[in-house]
Amino acid sequence: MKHFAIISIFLLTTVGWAEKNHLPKTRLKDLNNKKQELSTYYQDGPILLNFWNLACEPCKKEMKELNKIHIKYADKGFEVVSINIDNTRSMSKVKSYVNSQKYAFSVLSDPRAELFRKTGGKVMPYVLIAGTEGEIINRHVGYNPGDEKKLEEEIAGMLGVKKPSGEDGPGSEKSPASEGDTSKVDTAQ
Amino acid sequence: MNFSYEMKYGDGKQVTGTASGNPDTTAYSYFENLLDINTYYGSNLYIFTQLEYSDHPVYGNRRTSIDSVLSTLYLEYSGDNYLLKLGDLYELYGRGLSFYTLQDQNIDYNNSMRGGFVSYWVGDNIEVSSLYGVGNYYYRSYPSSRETNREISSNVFIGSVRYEHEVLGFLNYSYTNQSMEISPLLTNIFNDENEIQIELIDRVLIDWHLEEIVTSKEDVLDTVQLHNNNFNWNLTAGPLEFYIDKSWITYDKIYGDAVFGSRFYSSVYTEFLETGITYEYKSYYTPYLIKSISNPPIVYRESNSMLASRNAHSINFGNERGHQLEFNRIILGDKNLLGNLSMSYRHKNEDMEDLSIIDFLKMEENDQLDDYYPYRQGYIELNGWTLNDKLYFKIALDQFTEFNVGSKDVYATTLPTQWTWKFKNGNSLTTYLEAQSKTVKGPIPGDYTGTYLSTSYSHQGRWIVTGFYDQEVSEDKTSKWPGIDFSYNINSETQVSLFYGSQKGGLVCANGICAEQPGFENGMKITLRSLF
Repeated sequence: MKHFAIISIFLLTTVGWAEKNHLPKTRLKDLNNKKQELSTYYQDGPILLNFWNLACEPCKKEMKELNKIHIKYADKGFEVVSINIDNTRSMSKVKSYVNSQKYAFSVLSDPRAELFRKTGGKVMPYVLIAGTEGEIINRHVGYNPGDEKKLEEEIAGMLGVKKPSGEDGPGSEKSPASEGDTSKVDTAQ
Repeated sequence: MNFSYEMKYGDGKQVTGTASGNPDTTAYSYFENLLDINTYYGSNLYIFTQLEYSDHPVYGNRRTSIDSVLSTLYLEYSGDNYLLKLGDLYELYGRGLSFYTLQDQNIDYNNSMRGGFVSYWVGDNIEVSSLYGVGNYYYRSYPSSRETNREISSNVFIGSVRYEHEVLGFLNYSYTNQSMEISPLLTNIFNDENEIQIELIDRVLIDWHLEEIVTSKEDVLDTVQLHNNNFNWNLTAGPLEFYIDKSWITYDKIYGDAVFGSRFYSSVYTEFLETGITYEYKSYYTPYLIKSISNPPIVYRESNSMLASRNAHSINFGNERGHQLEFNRIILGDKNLLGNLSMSYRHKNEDMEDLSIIDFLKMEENDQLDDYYPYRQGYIELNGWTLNDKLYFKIALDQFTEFNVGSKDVYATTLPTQWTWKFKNGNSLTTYLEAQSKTVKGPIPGDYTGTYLSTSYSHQGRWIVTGFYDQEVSEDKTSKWPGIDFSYNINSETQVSLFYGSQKGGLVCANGICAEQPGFENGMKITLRSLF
């Protein structure tokens, strides 16, 4: 029976190979407990999804930079959507943390990490960029210094925006972006 | 289709026990391979598969035969107002007081059930769901066991209704019926030293039938029935957000009569003077029940500091009360101040003295307090960016006290800090520097001083080199664990890292379950992660 199951999986995956990766059709709750359809976020422009939890230090630092990118390219239809995957042991503290940071982007909750798994997530920080049809354009695992620069270039290219030369990173001139942490990745639940 | 591959290879020596005074070592190696494959067929059918070939895994049982390679498989089919799932079920009802199945590779934990799940939406605000599954739950008699050595098989049925209302909030009722088969041979229930065994042995003296089972050489099975009525409610009322979760549980004692137990969890969140305040309370009382399909909230802070996490509280899901208060606010412009106070203790029984919550807050040593197995932990942290966003800092203080765990009292004060300096062109230097002072009182007393230092240099996010130094000084010995790691990001989805050196073993805890990872001496580790 197990042999049959394994052979079936490989056959199915071979058939599925031709399928282009898309964000699944899903609804997640926001921090006010209102259900949100994920597709509503990318119907007007590309989105960046970042998956994180409270124990993930690199994720929190990356989110500071993502917030700048979100603000900078909002008028181009681009949006950052943050997906929190804290489970029952820490989910009660998420709202307190998010409110204190005053993020401009939306934060949705995925306590069973279903969307995380469905999009191929294994470790955090995990970021993926999707187009207006929900097609996954690129994925980034981990967060290291300079990543936000490449990320911004990628987003600017996708939006057809030429990045001004000499600019240090996302966000305002006052706070050039870059991040010190780390080679670390946090293992997902 | 998404592929996610992770390979871990290690070859070195394992320190026998984590006591630094014991110099014995044995050969220790692992070779773990995990491949997740998941895909959609059309927009409705989703398949998830996890294949594992491990000889040995870092932690857990070997998987080398064709029969064991397939570790997880499930299918989902979703329509406009329904959802069907078949295979290994990972589900959560409420906050997990009745049912929460999950997989955590770090601690080799997987309590999934294999079966079917169906959910149907009536209109926009009523969801009816049902689940049926069977499965074996594998666990360890000691956290230091590399492989699981205990096993329980069970089947479960759940029926649930959820209602959403603009004013009333979210209301959920679920009924769970679980049938667990207890085998003395597979659970070693009469010999493992724990509260269940002590209660069973006490009963043997007055129950001739139980005495016969104990003395019998046969594996006399017992079926434990559990009925769990769970109600949870999430409500926002003005500035307050409430969550209440209650389970009324009737269950059989092993080889005994049905008894009544309960679990209660509640949280309140509010903002006051621009400070986010979260309060949580738990009261779990299901003594002598082996927890397998539930995972209630732990209601204490799990530390992500290297040294502080070595003093994790060991939660007793069958008998524990606890409180947690956390605040979070911005000060000095954009700096984040976080504070947390957690405490827990057992329920009072007739042999124990009445104590107030102040006694548990004070944590003064005395026999009356010890009977409650009390725990208290305080944590305060300041973090933020400064010097024109060039320097990130995090400075924290963690104070941990726990009494009578293994007849010992533990006091630990930890100072975790983190510093990141940004250079131009995206290069950076990150340092984790931590210090700890720990005192253990009991049959084997001791004073320990710990120091942990790791420094990473990251070159444009392309490659990262990290040096580690971990030291523990006791009264008669100094132990050191140095190491070096080099990581290279081949592309945005693939990373390979090579570690050489030693690592101190210790507890890794998640969701109240702890695994004691073995110490690692003079060895090499390779990790490869890739998405494709």
